[in-house]
Amino acid sequence: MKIGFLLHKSPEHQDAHTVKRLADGFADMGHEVSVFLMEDGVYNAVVNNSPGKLSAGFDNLISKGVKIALCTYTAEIRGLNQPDLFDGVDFHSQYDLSKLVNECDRFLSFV
Amino acid sequence: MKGHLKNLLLIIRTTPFNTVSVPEALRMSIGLTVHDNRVSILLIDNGVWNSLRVAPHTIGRPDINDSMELFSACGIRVFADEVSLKERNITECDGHVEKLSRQEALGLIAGSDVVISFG
Repeated sequence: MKIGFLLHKSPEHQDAHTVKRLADGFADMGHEVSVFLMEDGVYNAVVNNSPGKLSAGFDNLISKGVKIALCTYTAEIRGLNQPDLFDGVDFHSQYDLSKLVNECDRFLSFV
Repeated sequence: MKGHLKNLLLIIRTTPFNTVSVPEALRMSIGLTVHDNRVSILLIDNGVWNSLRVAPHTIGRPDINDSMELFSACGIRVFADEVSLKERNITECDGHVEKLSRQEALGLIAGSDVVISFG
């Protein structure tokens, strides 16, 4: 099953952690999982090396085959560019979000 | 369901100016029509304030009217919950907004394949 998530919340919100854990679980079950980050949700893709880092750990999902993309526009207006983000995150548009919503068997939004 | 026409509903429950979530929801709704999606917007609770003709640019906020004007071309329908309108004494909506009873609003939600709620 193809499962999509839309996340608008930054790492301090429980929603970010819920999406990460659900994506993790679905990937473990063999589902095809995509996460689209938008608005403050793009902060979940920022590299954070702080010892007490505030992070849901989305970077750990890449190696499991979870596709993580973000809205280029909302990242840019927050001053975020490719070097700020962990490897494997794709810059996408609303066109791609539309396609994702259309193709997913289940689409869950956390906005 | 893959690749078929999908009914998408964006629910807006916030006022026009407090955050950028409303202009972003409207921008997203237009983008979502690119593929085989039928998009509707339901204004409910404080979201019905968006049914008024507003001028956000006068206070330096993103202008939602630009998105609104594209809606008919994109086939997006905008509905407002009558109960929420009545609670706020809003009697006149912008021309493109259609009023729905609470029962009809529930039917709209139940009939949608994907619901994205901006609260």
